[in-house]
Order: sequence, then structure tokens, then C-alpha cells
Amino acid sequence: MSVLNTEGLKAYYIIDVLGEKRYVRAVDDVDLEIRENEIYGIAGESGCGKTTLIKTLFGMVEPPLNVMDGKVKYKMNAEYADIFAMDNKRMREIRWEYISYIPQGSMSVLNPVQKVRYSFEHFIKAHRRIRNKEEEFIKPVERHLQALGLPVQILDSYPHQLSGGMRQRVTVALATVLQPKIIIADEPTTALDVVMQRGVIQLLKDVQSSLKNTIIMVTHDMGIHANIADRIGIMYAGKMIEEASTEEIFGNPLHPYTQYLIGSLPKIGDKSYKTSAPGAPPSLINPPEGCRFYPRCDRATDECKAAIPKLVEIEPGHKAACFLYSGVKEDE
Amino acid sequence: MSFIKRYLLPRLLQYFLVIFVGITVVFIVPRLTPVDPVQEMINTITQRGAYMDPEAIEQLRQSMKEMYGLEGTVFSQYISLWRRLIIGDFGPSLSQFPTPVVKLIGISLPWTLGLMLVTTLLSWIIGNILGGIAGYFSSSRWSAAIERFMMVLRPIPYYIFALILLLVFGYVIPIFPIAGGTSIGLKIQFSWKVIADLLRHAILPALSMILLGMAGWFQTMRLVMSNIVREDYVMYARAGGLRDTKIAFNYVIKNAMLPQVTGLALSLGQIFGGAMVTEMVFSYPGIGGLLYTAINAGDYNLIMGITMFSILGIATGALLVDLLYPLFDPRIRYR
Amino acid sequence: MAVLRELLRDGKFTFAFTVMSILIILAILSFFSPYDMSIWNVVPRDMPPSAEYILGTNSKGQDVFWEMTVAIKNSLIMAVIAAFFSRLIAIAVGLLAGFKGGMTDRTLMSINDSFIVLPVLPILILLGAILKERLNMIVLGLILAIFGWAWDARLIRSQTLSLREREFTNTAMLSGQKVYELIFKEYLPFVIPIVSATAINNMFWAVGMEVTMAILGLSNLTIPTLGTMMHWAISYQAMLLGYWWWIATPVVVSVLLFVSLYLLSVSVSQYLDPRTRIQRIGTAKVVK
Repeated sequence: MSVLNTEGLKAYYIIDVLGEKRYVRAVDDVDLEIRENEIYGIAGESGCGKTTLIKTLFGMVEPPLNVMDGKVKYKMNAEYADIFAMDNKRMREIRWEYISYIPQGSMSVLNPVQKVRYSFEHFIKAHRRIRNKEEEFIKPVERHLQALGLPVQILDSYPHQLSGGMRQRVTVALATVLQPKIIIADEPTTALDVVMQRGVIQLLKDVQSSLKNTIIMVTHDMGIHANIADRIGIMYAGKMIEEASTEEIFGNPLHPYTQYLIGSLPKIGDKSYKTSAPGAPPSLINPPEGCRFYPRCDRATDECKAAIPKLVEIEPGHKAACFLYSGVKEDE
Repeated sequence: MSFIKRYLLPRLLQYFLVIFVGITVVFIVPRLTPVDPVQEMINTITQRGAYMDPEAIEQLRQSMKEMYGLEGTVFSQYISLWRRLIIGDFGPSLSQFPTPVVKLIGISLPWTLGLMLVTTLLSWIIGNILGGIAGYFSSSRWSAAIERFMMVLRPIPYYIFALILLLVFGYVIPIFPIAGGTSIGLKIQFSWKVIADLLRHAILPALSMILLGMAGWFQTMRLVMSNIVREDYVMYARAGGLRDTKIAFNYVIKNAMLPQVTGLALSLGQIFGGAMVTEMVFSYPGIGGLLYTAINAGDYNLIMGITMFSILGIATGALLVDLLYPLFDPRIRYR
Repeated sequence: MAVLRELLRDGKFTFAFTVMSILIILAILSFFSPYDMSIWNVVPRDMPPSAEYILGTNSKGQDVFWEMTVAIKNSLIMAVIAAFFSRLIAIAVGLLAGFKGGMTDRTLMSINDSFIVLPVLPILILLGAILKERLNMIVLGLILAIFGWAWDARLIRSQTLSLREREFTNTAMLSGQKVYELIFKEYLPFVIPIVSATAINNMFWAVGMEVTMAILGLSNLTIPTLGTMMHWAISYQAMLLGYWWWIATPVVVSVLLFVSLYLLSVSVSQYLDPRTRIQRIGTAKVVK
């Protein structure tokens, strides 16, 4: 059962360069089906459209970003609702209550001039009516923090008084305090050192297993995906090019790009030379025609230059967009 | 403790440095010019038609040189300037001899202080509120309309703007008095009649300062605001589904205030200059008005006194605003 | 040229640029003035505008149009001098403080902040009262330069600070490039745009100060400037006597000059600020 779907989602940045409109195709025709009670990882190099994708999934679309086509549907009360068809009021209500967000780099997401307590208060009061502050706000929040292993004193601290890892954990606590069905995490560990990373990852895992909800986890770090994700989607140049369970992605990568991605990971006992994909990711303003990856692909054929391969199921539960496995083209 | 060391001490040092730099500039620059202020002043007095025989002029020159501390080496002159500043002795006024300069300043000070305090606060508050709203809704049409209005208002110099107000409300539609701080012959006492009269006289000078000052605050606030709206913590609060009013007050305005408070401290000198010009145009009995009469009378002593006094006053004002800043910014208070 | 073309897209800039060009042409015309402005009573007094005297004549017996051209020239020269020399100080202080950091930075910035807070007008009035007739446009420009650098030094310092953190500084230092070479070749190109935007601001401020001082009678009143023109018109009661062309000319010209300088500085700094550049990119319609 899926909790979040996208259909042919296209989100472009529209940039005016000397009177000429340019489109940055950050999310280009993406179909997703994210299930209940799973951790779904989205992987890819920087600049491949990951962050734009989750902004769009979350409905935070502000110019110059525009949704050109497609739908994002949340499953609410056994029905699927298109978020771009909702009015602002409804949108405001479901945020945090139904879907919440753990931002990249907690450095500047907490209001620097208020104590952490007020962030909790504002976020909760925006969705819940609190009549008895002691019973309905203070105690539950303190219980929540203790459950996550966070000291209660942080409530009376200002953000600048907390360490980076602590701030990131505060954002995890904030994102889970209303027990939403979906949590989107945008590179939650990038700004932290390795020890802190482990702590935050473990925290997310614990949260997921106790809430039985869905976490969409975006990071370029394949190691973290291996550690936490149930299924992984690989993004390249605004497109989803492969999707499978974590074991499949690491054990049997199909797409040449994924193979490079996995092949460049160090393994214990393996002393072979690591290769990475030659060249650099393409510009999203003028992506190559045909398969976006063909200029860097050593197995590219003429077909790859002419048409875009479609993401189709190659093996049960394993999708890839590559002409090596299927001849299905995207109709354009 | 670290607050004192990190914030308070540097501010206090800064305070003394401002005074030091200001007084030193006042001391040095006239000496770099080939002008002898004493000779200059004697010229002014004789030009005004007062006949003086050469002996009297020589006497005057001697006494003035003593008064200005032009005797002795440059260094001892400098020291004596500081000594006089510290004991608060700027000598007697030349045009209203022998009233001490300090006394004249003392009489004018409440007028300027009252006018400046009220107009600065009002223009700061109104400008920031309007600029804040316009910056928060920066894409709306009326925001752009106010912006355009302020853009025309802002570059007009105080002098010309005050002159225009004076013409319109003093001559064309004569609803406000054109000069002075009170009606002539009015005795200052606490009664509604006196207060009403004071207010009536203060309206035009105040209006010119409030409007121009407001335009400046409006523009910086609008810019600050439209930047803060894109800050991560605002986006995050929006992602959390917080209500717009909550975001506006607790997240945007609270943060946008900070540069504006610093800006207030830094721009006090300019505001003071504006107040002086305004007072001169409206013959308001404050420091600016006093300075204007001093200029016209060639009262170098009074001009010198007012200049040094304003350096002290502005530095103190800026220090006071700086001391208020930690109330708004917890990052300064706690570390 | 491409920069100019992009700037001209901005309505504000186009307006300001046109007005400024006209004012500069008027200033150049002053060299062809048929009258010497230091001599009084060369034309009939108090004539309203006519074919012979385009903007009329004043009570000093001078042609207002030609007086205006000289006034614009003098005011602009003074403003350029003030802007140029204050920029020199600002660049020197800003680069030095930003590059050296530490104690140098703290000392320079303390002095810098003192100059920002300093009430300039009373000090200028004091100087004007002492110097008066000796105060020609060059001296006034230089004096204003002493008081007009502090804000920009701060801007340049913060730009330099961020440049110093960048990779190329380390690369250059390690490869043995000399410090002054690094500063002149690598830093200055980044600093020049800031300087050009604030230079306009500074000219604006300088003209305003000149007008204020001249109206108060604290500058050399024999030199025609926008300020001294107003001073004479006011002291001859031009307004009450109905010689509107005499007082209106400098007022209108200075308002035009102020507004155009201000708009120039606004649009240039908008052009230079990448954040507002993105704002200007049209908010295209959301396709649903």
C-alpha cells in the first residue's frame, strides 16, 4: 500500500537570462510509489534534483521553481488527494500533522532569537488546541524528548547554545512530535561528523520502528542508505533511473550509473582499484538528448543517443531505465 | 562575565574612541588650514561695522588666543582643549557676551532633545512597520506603490523638504505657525493651552523629520524583511504549517529588528544633522536654531561649543542604543 | 556595453541615466558661457524667462541659465572629487583591515565606526565658519572626502574578508605571489563594483552637504553652485518678490540631480546584488 504517489512529476526552475526564458529541469517526469511503513532512500550526486524532488513532494514550490506537470498524491483517510489541488489552508493543516520534514543543515533552521521551547510550542499549537498547558504540552513534549534520549534542558536553550548534532536531533524531535505518517529527511547527516551521523541515523531508525510510519531519506551518501533504507531510488539528472530494494541495489545493480555508484564504494577486504563514472553530471538546462547518462556511459549505443529509456520493471520489484534491459522508450 | 568582556567593554571603548576621534578632528582640521581663527573672527567683528581701535583689537586677539588655548605648543593646546571639555567649559558666547556657551546650550537642549526623541522614535516605528509589511508582501502591488513613493521622498534633502512644507502649510494653507517653538510671549507652564501651543509649533518641524526619516527606515526594513522571509528558519516554520501571523511576528519581525536597532545607533549622527537643518528652517529654539544664530553672528566660540557638545551627545546616544541591543538578541546575552 | 544594455532594461536606470546625461551636457555647456559669472550686472535685472534669457535673469544682473550651467559643473566637480578621494581612503582601509585581520582590523574598524557615528554637519559648519571664502570646490570636496568613506570601508572590508577565505588566496600565497600583487590583481576587481555603486551614493551625499552649507552661507558665495544659487535667491527674497525662475531653477535642478543620483545608485546596486537579481527574474505562472 502506498502512502505517497507521484505521476509524471515535472518541476522546473524558470530563469530569465537576458529576456530569454531558460528551464532548469531539476525534476523531469518522475513516478514514485512510496509505501507505508518503509524507509525509502533517494540517492544521487549533488545537483541531480534530489532536493528539488523532495521540495515538490512536500508541496514547497515557490518561484523560480514551478511544477510544470504531474501530480503528487498523499493517501489520507483511504483516499488519494492531489496536493497541488488543495487550498493553502488545507495544505497548512496537513503539514506536520500528516507529513513533516527534517531539513538539511540544522544550523539556521531554528529561530536564533527564541528558545527551543517556543519552536515546539509554535509547531504544536499550529495544529493542536492546547487548553491545559502543563498536561497537553509540557509533559508530552518532555516525554517525547526523553523517549528520543534528548535532555529536557534543551527546551530552555537558544539554538546557538546547542551543538550541531544536538540541533539536528532537535529537528528530528520536532519532526516526530506530532507523529506524522510521512517524514521527509533532506541530507539530515551531511553537516555532522561521523559519530554524530550514527546517532542521528539510529534515532531515525528507532523513530520509524516505533511509529511504523514512512521516512523518505535523501542523501548522496550510499553508506547511509545501506544502513537505513528498505528501498532505494537512484536519481540522475532529474530522472529516476533505477529503483529496487536495498539488497538488490547493492547486490545486483542494473543501470551502468548505479554500477559506478556501487563500484566506487570501499568494501572490507577488497583492494581493487575503484572506478567512478568518467566526466561530470550534465547541466540540467541543456541535458543531453536521449538517455541523460550516455555521454558518460561506456556501454552506450546509438539508441541511447536517440531516445530516453523508460523506468520499467526488469525483475520483480526492480525497476531500471536502460536500453540494456528493455527497449521501452519514454514517449516524447 | 563574558558578556561584559565581549560586548560591554568594546562598546565603552568605542564610545570613548568616537569622542576622541571627533574632538581630535575638530582640533586638527582647522589647524591644517592656513586660516587663523582669531584673525578670522576679528575680521567678522570689524566687518559687522563695530569700530575698534588697533589697541583694542590687539587686546581682543590676546584674550581670544588665551581662551582658545592657541598659546603654547600644539600639544599643550590639545591638552587644554580636553581639559576644557572635561570640566565643561566652552567659554563665553561672543555674540551674547558674557553668557557661557554651556548655558546657551542648556537652554536649547530640551527643545532639540524633545523634537529628536519624538521624531526619531516615530519615524523608526512607522517606517519599520510599513517597511516590514511591504517587505513581507513584497510581491503585492501596493507594496511596490509605497516603495515608489518612498523612493521619491528619500533623496530629498532636509532643507528643501522643510522649505516645501513651510511654503505649503505656512503660506499657501496657513494652518501652522511658520517659526518658533511657542507663540511669542507665552509663558512656559504646565497647562493644556501651553501644551497645545507647543505641539502646534512642533508639528511642521516634526513632520518634515518624521516623513524623511520614515522613508529611510522603510527602505532598509523592506530590504531586510524581503531577505529574512527567505531565511531557513522562516521556510522551516512555514513547512511546519505555522500560521502566517505567527511567522510574521515571531520569526520574521523579531529577526528583522536586529539590524534596524544597530542601524539606529549608527545613524544618530545623521539624524542629528537633519534635526539641525530642520530647526534652522523653522527657527526652532533648539541646538540647530542656536547654531544658526551663532553662524550669522560669527560666534566661533558658540559654534565650537555646539560641535563638541554634539559629538559628546551623539556618541552617548549611540552608546545607549547599543546597550539596548542585547535585550533583542539572545546571542549577545548568552554564550 | 553589455552591462549598460542590461541596466537600461530597468526603467529607473533609464530615467536616471537620461536626466544625468542632460545635466552633464548642461555642465559642459558652461564652458561656452558668454558671461563671466564673477561679474555682476551684465544683463538687465529680474527679467522673467524669454527668448533672449531662457531662464530669465536674477537680481544680481546675471543670466540664470548660464549661471545654472556653471553651478551644475561646479557641484558635479566637487561631488566627483569627494567621491574619488573618499573611495581611495575606503579602499585602503577596507582592504587593509580585511586582509590583515586581527589587531589591525579591530583598530581600523573602531576608527571607522567612530567616523560613521560622528555628527558630520556640526563639524562641517565649524570648518565652514572658519574657512568661508577660502573654501573653494576642491577644498570642500577634499573635506567631504575625509568624512564620507567610513560606510564603504566597512563594505569593502567584509568583501575582502570573504575573498581571503577563498581558495585562490591560499593558492596565490603558497605559490609565492606578492601580497600587493594579490591585492591589486585578485581583490581589486571584486571591490571595484562595490566602489562604483557607493560612489554614486557618496556624490549624492556630497551635493546635499554643499547645498546645506551654502544655504547657511558657509561656503564661498562667489562661486556659483546649486547651493549658492539658492542662497542668493533666498537672501534676495526671490520667492516673495515673485522671481520664481531664480529660486525654482536651482531647486528643480538639484531635485533632479538628487533623484537621478539616487535612482542610479539603487539600480546599480540592485544590478550587482545577486539576490535581488534573482528576484527580478519573472515569477512565471505555476502550471497546474
